[in-house]
Amino acid sequence: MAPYDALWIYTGVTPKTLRTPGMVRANYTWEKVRTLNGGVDIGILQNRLTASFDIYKRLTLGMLAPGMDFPAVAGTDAPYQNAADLKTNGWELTMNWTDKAGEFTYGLGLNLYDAKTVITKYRNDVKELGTPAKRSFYEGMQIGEIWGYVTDGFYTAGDFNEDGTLKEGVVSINGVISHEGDIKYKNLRDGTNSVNRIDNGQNTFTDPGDQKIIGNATARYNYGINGFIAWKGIGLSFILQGVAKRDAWIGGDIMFPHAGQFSTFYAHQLDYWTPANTDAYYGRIYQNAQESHGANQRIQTRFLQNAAYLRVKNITLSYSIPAHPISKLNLKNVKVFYSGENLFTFSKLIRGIDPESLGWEYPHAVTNSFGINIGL
Amino acid sequence: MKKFKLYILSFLLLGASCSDKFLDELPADAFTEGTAFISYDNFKTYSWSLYEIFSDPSHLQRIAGDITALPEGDVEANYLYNSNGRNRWAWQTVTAETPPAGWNFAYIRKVNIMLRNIDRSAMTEPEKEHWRAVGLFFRSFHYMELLSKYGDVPWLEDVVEEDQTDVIYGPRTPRDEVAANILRDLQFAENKIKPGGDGDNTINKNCVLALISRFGLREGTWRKYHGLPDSERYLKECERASALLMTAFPTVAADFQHRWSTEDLRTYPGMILFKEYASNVIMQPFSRSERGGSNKIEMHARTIERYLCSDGKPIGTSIRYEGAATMNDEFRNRDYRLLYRIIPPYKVNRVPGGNVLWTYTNNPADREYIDLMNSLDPTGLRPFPVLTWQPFTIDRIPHITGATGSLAPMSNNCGYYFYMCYNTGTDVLSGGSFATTDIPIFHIEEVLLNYAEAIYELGKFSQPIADQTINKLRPRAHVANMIVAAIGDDFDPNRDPEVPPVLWEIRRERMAELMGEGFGFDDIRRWKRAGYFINAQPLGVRMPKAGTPAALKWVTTGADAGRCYRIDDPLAQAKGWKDYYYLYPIPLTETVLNDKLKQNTGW
Repeated sequence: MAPYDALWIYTGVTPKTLRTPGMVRANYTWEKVRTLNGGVDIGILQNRLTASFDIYKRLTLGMLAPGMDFPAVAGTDAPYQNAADLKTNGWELTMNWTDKAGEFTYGLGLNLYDAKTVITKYRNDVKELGTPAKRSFYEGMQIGEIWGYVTDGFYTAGDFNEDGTLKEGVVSINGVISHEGDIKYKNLRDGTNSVNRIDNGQNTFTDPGDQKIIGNATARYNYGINGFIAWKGIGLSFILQGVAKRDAWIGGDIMFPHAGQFSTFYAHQLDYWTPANTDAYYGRIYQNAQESHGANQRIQTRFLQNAAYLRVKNITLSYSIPAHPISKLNLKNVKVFYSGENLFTFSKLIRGIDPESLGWEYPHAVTNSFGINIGL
Repeated sequence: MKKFKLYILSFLLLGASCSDKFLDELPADAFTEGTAFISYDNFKTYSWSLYEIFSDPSHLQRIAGDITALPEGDVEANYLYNSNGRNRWAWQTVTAETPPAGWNFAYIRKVNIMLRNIDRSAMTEPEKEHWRAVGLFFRSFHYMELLSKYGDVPWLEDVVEEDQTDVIYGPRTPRDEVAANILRDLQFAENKIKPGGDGDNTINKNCVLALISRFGLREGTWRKYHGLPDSERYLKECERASALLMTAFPTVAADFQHRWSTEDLRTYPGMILFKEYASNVIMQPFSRSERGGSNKIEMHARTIERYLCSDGKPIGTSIRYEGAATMNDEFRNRDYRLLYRIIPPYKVNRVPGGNVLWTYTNNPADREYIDLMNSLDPTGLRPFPVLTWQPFTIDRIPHITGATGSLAPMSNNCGYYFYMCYNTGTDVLSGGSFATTDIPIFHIEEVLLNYAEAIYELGKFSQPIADQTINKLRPRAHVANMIVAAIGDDFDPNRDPEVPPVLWEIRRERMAELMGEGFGFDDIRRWKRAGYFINAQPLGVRMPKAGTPAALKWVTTGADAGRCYRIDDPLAQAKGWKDYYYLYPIPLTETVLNDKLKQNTGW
């Protein structure tokens, strides 16, 4: 029961008060991790080619998690119990090639790994999906799932009667008054109450309404490539890093033009629907984000981003000046080098979004360093 | 060997001293339930967190957010409206998937935690009863909100524990039982609370009575108009509690306008409880946001027409009414409470070289309401022409957003600008939340109107009752007294024909007196007349079209020809209030988690 200042004035000051204690249960313990793995290491061609491959399965058992998803009547969240299990299947591959050809030495390395994690036990019997802001876990859920709607273009003038209501047979969105230029969604399922109408059904795994899993935010097929080549005193090396497959829902101010009542526009957001621009990328926007503004920004296939990327983490170029000119200067060795960090990033994300953090924040610094090492 | 024996011995000792309890330590640096509820002052400390219910985001009436939140109940009722949005009920955008806030029991648990620790505390019996009374007052306050929105709601007499699955996954408790429990708890609180509470603006006996007055009327009329039994029992409680308060607070403040714009409401007669604000302690955002660019709460023509004229008659029969051809005419000889909620019309010339300086125009009509409003408030703190927070002088009312020469702050879309906290003496300059005028929670004027309405519903309304209640409110509103005998079928030709003439007048008075305080939506629902109010298209002022923004639409035919509007007529688009809206939908997520929780009919 943490103390804090009350939001009430009593005799001229705010008295201290206490927070409501949550539910706790006494008998919880550490989680257990069990890992099973197998692998091969090989080295052939006089170890010029080495490779190792690992495959593993990891069970995390008895994780602390809400014992169940409580209805609001309980007045608080369910206490934590050792109630959740998850299973990760993954593999790792590393390959290296190093060789010499005449005065050249060179090498190339590759590593690649991937894993999928699935919840195998969680107390969410109805498999409730939660909200975009706070997703619920459920048994069988793959970590990173993105639930959303399937975009089906815009509403057009032909979809409406003269009085502004939707024509028979045109899909409607529950609780939303749609207009020309608003985003239209595909009707994936009809319920008893929901014929040709977009809604989230019971918002459970078994009845998600017109939502489906449209992507996964887990970074898949992480890879790194490094290499070097050296000839006499000159050396060049590089490190690349990337993710081959990842979906991201960005949303919010950086994604949508005039995303909220007090939001602005960015240069990349100007292709929104207007009567003169019906072939736009974004749907119609509304003053003060009113009307169907929010419905146009739901998580959906159209605005799902491809977050795969390749980043040049480091390039180093160096030159060691041969011994004989410098020995006259009484120096043992002199090496000049250039090193660049984070020089290039190849990504399809909106400019400014860092593909590693997926945030719009202080970017990774690009560093250029030049140097001389002198040995006396 | 000797050493070895010693080891064995010490192991044995260790084993003996280790029981399970040995490791159970209460934290010494933090409060737990075991240590936070011992003394009277402990309970007082915890009780301050209960006062947050007056700002609870799940309540329709709440002191939170900005100026647009305070009147939300009246916006939902379409007495007022937000011209940037649409009424969610009229436009049928409420669903069980996107339900209005409300299904929230965390607060009930908060109170019940306090209640369950009373018995084992070290307090005397009267002290225990006092804190039980305070707890029950607050619990009732939240249950009233739940009852009003959902009808049947789970009744939680005690803290719900994890293993009580029959409660957590249980059905709702019938409305009759919930209402009876609320009344039982409030009566206990009335009898056992320390009459003066804990001093200085805390929950005391009068606060409990004010809540009984509110609840008795709300539940009594709900039962009467929704065909449930027992309405008299609740109406009589309203009558009883209101009468006690009318004795305790015999004086109605002479200045209506100051109720929502006074630095210290202790000085305001008839104030029972208020939220206090003080510089550098807790300050409020309302005064500033009311005078900024974000306030798009407006009144509309149908509501304005319901205000009386100064002779105490409605516009349909008053000889003082001068029509609505211009906004000046429309506001002349009307209930002053209209002028204190909607900025009346005027025009001045701006003087170049500053944002504040102005001069009168050559047209005397342009200064009519400047002179009136300045004469009504001799403090000089509510000056006309009105000043925005910056301050800029607003040179015209109506002051339309985007019209030629208009400013962004204190402008709106259709002309009837809602204001309530106007006081240039409080700090709106230092930042968003620096104002310190207090906000009322319970005041005697509401109680008088509760009393008048309850008495009418009990069939006992008369001229003396009108004199004790409504006619105490009229002089300061510049409206002639109510003469009950004069109110017949033809008193107001614009009356809702479903409502008897005198009752219509009592409800009208309630609307005018409490406008902006957020009672509207509860009122029209308990009267079962929501459709009448909600389905009206909100229409703006008549004014010259030149210079107004192109987005503004205009009525071209009929009695309202010449009025501007932004929002279409919901009925013309086959929308509008539905009978099952009287109870809110239970959020879909809740009915999915608990199949014993049956959805309200229709949703």
